[in-house]
Amino acid sequence: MINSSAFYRIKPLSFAVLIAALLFFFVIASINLYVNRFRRPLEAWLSKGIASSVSIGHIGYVFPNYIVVEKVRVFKRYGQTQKVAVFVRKIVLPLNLLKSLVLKKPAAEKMYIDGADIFYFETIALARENGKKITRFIASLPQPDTFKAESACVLILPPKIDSAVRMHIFNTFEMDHDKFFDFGTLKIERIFLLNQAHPVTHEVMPLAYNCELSRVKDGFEIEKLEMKRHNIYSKLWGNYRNDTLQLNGFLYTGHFFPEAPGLRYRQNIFDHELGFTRKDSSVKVIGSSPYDLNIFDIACTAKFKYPNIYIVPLSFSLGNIPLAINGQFTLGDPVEADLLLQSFPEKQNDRSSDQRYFSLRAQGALRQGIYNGKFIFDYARRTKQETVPGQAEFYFKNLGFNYTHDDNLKMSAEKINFSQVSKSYKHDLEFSNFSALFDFKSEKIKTVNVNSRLYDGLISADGRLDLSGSRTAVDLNAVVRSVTAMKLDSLVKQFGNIEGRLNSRFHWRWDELSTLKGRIAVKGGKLHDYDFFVWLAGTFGLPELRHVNFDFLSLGFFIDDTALKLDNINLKSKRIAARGYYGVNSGMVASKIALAIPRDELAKSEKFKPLVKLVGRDMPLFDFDFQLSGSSDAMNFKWLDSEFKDKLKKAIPGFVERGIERQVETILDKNIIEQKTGGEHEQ
Amino acid sequence: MNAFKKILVAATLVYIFSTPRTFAFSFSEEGRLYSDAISAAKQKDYDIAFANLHTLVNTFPHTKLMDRALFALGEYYFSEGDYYDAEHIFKHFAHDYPKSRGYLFAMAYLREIARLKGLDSEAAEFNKDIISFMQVSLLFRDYKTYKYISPMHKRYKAVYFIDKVEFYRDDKQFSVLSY
Repeated sequence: MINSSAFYRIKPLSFAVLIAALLFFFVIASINLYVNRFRRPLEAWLSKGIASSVSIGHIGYVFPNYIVVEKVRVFKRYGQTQKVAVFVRKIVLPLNLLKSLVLKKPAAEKMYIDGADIFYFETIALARENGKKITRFIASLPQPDTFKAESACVLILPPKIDSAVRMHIFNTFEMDHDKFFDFGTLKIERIFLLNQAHPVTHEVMPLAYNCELSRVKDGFEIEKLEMKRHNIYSKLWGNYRNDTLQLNGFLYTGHFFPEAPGLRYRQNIFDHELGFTRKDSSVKVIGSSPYDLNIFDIACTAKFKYPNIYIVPLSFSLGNIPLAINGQFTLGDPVEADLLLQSFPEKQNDRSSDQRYFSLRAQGALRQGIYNGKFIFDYARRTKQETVPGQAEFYFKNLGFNYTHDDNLKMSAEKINFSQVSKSYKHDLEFSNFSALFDFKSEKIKTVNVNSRLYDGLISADGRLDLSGSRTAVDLNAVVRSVTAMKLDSLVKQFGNIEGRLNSRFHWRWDELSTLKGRIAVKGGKLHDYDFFVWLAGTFGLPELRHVNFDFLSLGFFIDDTALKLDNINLKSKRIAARGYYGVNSGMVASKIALAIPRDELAKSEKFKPLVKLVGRDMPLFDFDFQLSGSSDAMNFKWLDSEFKDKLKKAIPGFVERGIERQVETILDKNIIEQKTGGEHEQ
Repeated sequence: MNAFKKILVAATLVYIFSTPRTFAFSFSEEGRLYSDAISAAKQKDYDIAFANLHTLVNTFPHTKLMDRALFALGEYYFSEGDYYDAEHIFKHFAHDYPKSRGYLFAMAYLREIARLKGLDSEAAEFNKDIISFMQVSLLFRDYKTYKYISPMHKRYKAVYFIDKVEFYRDDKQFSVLSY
């Protein structure tokens, strides 16, 4: 039972508390209403300041000293329409009440941005258009002696049909008079919409950064710019003066950190002032791995002259190879780049002497993640005999990259033209509807799967880069379907003599030296002026053999730096059939060819007509089996035993044999002279 | 008397052609040295032959007999197992007298020396020279031959098949090159 006197004693106290609470809420509500009155003027002031439309959802007051600005939108105008470039859910400004009372206006020394969505392309476009005005506006703001801003933002790239990429940025900016500190974490998140209800999300290990700047008369001194990831550590320092950036430093890759140092983020803003707690970013170094890619002696000079950035140069050392990048970016729409990467830059004039000397030039334009341009790679290639200079050029039309749901990198291009020029050859290839899927997840084995049109045919290939051994090895298995053979004449000169559609399966391996082996087949085609048949046509007096319609042609091939081997040659034609092999190794030929010519065909030859009459009455088919050997410039020739030869030997006396032999020697000598002089000679 | 004269002329001719190119030089000192060497070689007295040829080479560096003398010195060094001097002499010979009839066999010796020293890449270079020395077209025959008689009175023969070359010295095979 309640004591009545006690009840009456408590009652006034409760009443007072109730009144105080009501008064408190009344005051808070009044302040909120008062503060929100500044919403429209603030929108107008900001819109004018950055020359772009800004809207604010609500401005409120939270006891005891917080001003909360909610749902801030910054727009980018496109003609009659506008798109949101930046959306900020909540900005919290803890007011310094004493200072505010003294100054008679709100004074904040801290700012918390809780959840900002930055739409990449709209923001870039806005910055490109109003960058100078925005910079001037920020510079005109009153600058306190000390200031701190913490923010949690998401950079949103335009979503694709089945995927989207977001970059979470947890940043802290601190200012203490002329000292500036900026540190935080970047985390990339890839979202795949294979199933609308359950999207698959992949997170890339975060990157932590830490930057310290000091303001000086004409710019900034960069005391340090550190970047850390589980397998990356980089430290840079330098200055930014008179629109010129100078940086020095190094970058290690390996496996240094047991986990990524960085931040932990709480969603509830009132958990702890703003929800950020900072994790100890002390680093435990585990040690480097054999796959490290360490960059030392970074020295960069970049001049900013909007819209251009000139790199003059960026030099560094990678694996004891000095490298330098020169060139420029133009920050327009599209972003244009012309960059030249050189190894041993001071020895570029002597490039042919060492395969470590190379250069790579990249020229092109990037718009909305799509690249159009070319890469030119100048290199020196070591063969068994010598080191020869070469150049490979790639032209890309609408090249783009994105990640698949299983975290593989996909490269696609509408068109790729490839050409390679060396001392002894020029190769050209044209790919369209090109697609390549790279799997870089394994550290030792990297794979790629390619599907593309190759001229008017198709190519599919599986490549493998093996970094596990002491020497890097590349393997490529490819299947080519129904390509017009003549279009590949720059790759293999002899294809230029073949009319028909080519199918092929081949394997290329490169581990310092290069080997290519495989098989090609052409069904239903024509051979035009093929070297061997030109020789045969002249030797046999059968000019028809210069153009041979065939039902089927197939052969296996093996090519390395010194050897060319064609085996299992099989040609089926109504006019002639051929089987055998042909190889050239270090200039030495080894070959056996078996020809079968129908009687009627051979009888057309004035040279062979008497022989056909002499021994060939009952022979529907004449066999000519040859063996070739010796130097490719002056091949030895032997007519191997066959039924036709046996019959001929029995039919003619010995002195006639020797006469024929001398005639053949004369023919061979003539052919050799023709080969050496390009066919222009007088007998 | 006529018969005696005929016999004398015939004997003289036999002598001249059995020792080719020696008669013309027999009246000079270098000719005498060479002639003495040939005579000694015929008697299988190779040391004497070598001494005369060595003197000839060192005393008459511009003699027209230099190619034959060098080849013979190389042969002698090789037969004695002095591969270092044999290689030096044969390389000198091959460089200065590429059109000599002994060139092919000097290449065969150099190839053998390279093989004995285990220098396969060097041997491969000599292989190329040997293979391209003669281009053969064999319709009814299986091989072609190339012969040479050295000042040491050794009969050399190279037999070119379509895919190999066999070397013979006094009808004994001393090297085979297959390709």
